[in-house]
Formats: sequence, structure tokens, C-alpha cells
Amino acid sequence: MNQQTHLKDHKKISLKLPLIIVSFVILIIIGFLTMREPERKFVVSVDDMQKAVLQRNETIKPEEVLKIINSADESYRFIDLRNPHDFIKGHIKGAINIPKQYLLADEYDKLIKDTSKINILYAKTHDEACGPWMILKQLGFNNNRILLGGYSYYSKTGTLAQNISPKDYLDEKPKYDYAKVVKSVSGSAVIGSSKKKKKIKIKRKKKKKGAEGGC
Amino acid sequence: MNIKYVISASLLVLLGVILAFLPEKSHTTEIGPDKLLSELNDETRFVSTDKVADNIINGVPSVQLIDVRPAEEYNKFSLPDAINIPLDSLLLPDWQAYIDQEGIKTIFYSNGTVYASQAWMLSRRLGFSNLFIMKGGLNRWIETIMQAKEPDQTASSTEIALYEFRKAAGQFFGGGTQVAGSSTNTKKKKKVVKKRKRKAAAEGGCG
Repeated sequence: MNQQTHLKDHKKISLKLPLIIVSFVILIIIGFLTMREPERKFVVSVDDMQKAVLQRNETIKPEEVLKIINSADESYRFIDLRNPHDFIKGHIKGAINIPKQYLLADEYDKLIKDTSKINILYAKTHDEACGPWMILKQLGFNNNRILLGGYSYYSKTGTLAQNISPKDYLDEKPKYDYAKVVKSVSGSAVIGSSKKKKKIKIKRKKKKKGAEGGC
Repeated sequence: MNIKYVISASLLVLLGVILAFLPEKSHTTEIGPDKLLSELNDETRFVSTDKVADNIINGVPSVQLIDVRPAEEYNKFSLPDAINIPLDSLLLPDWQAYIDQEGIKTIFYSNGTVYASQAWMLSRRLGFSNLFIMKGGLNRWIETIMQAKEPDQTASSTEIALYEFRKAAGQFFGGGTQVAGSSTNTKKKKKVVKKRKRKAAAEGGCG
């Protein structure tokens, strides 16, 4: 009799077995299908982005910007990536303020996707606008240009074209002959201090454990 | 009854097959646009020239400097022990092994800040971590370290201490040593690089 109930139980379970497995499978598949996919994805590969970066042609010179402002060219749109505080203090006429952390926010989605105009991105410096430009470029938007020299240069020269010179606004242009400057620093020090070579003593900062992570 | 077992077994096999194919698409170390953008607001990726000078003087071993300028500029002048990885060869597999070292703090530098930032962006998108940018680049290096400006008499003690550090650092770096050191080969320092295996998929980027 005992064995009979056993058999019965076994039968019950074996009847349900496929059901259990099927629901198990479905559950896992649903899990995978509903897995959160990132909303946005880069459409330009890293290698292509590197090429785009090396081409260095999606920038715009301050003198060109002056022309655009003076002619009120409608095919351009200025986007100010700085925070609202700096924006209020001063900005290029007609610029739209999109603080760079909100670049991909829903609020500006329509504007970013509107490729009928060329956006001139600017921040305080060239390199600050570079990151946002790279993100947009990698998302497939090709209508963005970076203002060389950033707003800091633009505001310095004002609207006077004659004050603009490329050597001042190109961030990557070497301003010095590095090797020469470095040589001259100790060279003069050595010559100046008679024959004796100055012993250079450098205060070594004590390293605390935390100090390294600091920067 | 037997059929039931066959069905359940085959279902499980099917599940196994599905699972084997499913994760493929989400299996990348690449960083998406939203995360990258949020990291752009984190200013801690910038390192000052003073900090870099301090690292070199103290010989901090867990830091490497990467010069992203073209080789000819690197050969004319570079910071001590910097490795030259020009921006156009940044993504070559051999160099990736240098950049992708989690335990080592990698600091990119160029003449200004732009190229180093671009190198940072590209490497960061690939998911490499512990990357930094020397803010202001070599132009600022010269201005702050080599040609430190004496502060006013009214300057605070921290400013004076900074000036003293810069002056001493300038003498440390000054002189012919750096220039003479500009050897012709691009790799100054041979380093043992832990090569991490990269799957072929990583190269193609996000399709």
C-alpha cells in the first residue's frame, strides 16, 4: 500500500514536470528579452571615431564665427555647453544653453536631432567642447563644429577681427621650444652660480596613503 | 511517460542552446554614451602639472605618462619616462596593452589639453580605466614648472609653498639631461606589460 501511494506521488510529479520545465524556460527567455538595453548606442566604431578625430576638420575658427554673427547666418546655431551661471554672465548672441551634462537629456532631444542647421558647440575652452562633440559624433550626428579657443578666447578678443591670431587660440600649438626652455632653466642656473654646480635639493613630499588617489 | 521525459530533456537542451546564443550581443566592455557623458562632468580625470612633477620626482611606480603627440615632437622633447603613443596609433593592439592596465595610473599629455582629452575619450570608450589627462599639457608644464612665476609678497603661504616646489622642480627637470635623453627610439622604457587577451569582437566596436 505504501508503495502504491509512492507511485501515485511519482505520477503526479511526472505529470507536472513538463509544465514546470516549460514555465522555467519561458521565465528565463522573458528575463533575457526584457533585459534593459541601453537607450542610446554609439553608431560610429572606435576606429572610425579615431579617424574623425585625426581629420580635425570639424572645428570652426573665431574669425569665421565673427562672420557668421555679423551676417546673421541662419544656417548656424550656437550651443553653449557651460553651466547656466556662466551663460547668464555672457554668451554669444543667440546661443542656446545646454549645460554639457544635459546634452542627451530629453529636453534637448529634438534640438540635437534637428540636423538642418550646423551647431557650433562651445564651452570655456576648446577641450571642454571636445568631449560633447565626440559623443554626438559617435551617435551619428555630423552637424556639429567646435569653436576653437572656446568662449574664453572669444570673449577676450571681443568682436574685433584684427585681434584674432591662430597662435593664440590653437590649444595644441606649442607655445615654446620646450627643449630650449628646459635647457635654459638649469643652464643659466649653473653658469650663474660660478663653477660650483648647484646641488639641487628637492623637498620630497611625504606620501600618505591617501595622497595617491587624490588626482 | 517516456515521451514526457524526452520532451522535457529536449526543452532543457533547447534552453541551453538559446542561452548560448543570447548573451553574445550584450557582452562588450565598451562604455555607452550616457555613461561617457556623465564621466565628462567628473573633473577628477584631470591631473595638474604639479602633481605630475611630484610623481616623477618621487618616482611613483604606479604611474605611467603617455605622450600622444607625433613621434617627431616626442623625440624633440618629452617628459622623463614618458611612453610615446601618437594619437593615430592609439588603437593598435600592441599599444592597447600599455593603456589598459588597471593597476597603473595612466596620464595622457600633449601640447595642450585637446589631444590628450581625445585619447582619453577613445580609451575610455573601450572600457579602459584609471586614465587621466594632464591639464594644460606641455604648454602649462613650461609655464608652471619651468618658468614658475614668483608670487606677490601678499601671497598666501600655500602659494609660496607651491612656488618653492615649482622652482625646485624646475631645477630638477632643467638642464641638458632631458634634451640628451631624447633618444631616437620611440620606446624609452621597456616595460613588462601584462597583456590582456582581447576578443576580436572588441575591435569592431558597437555594431
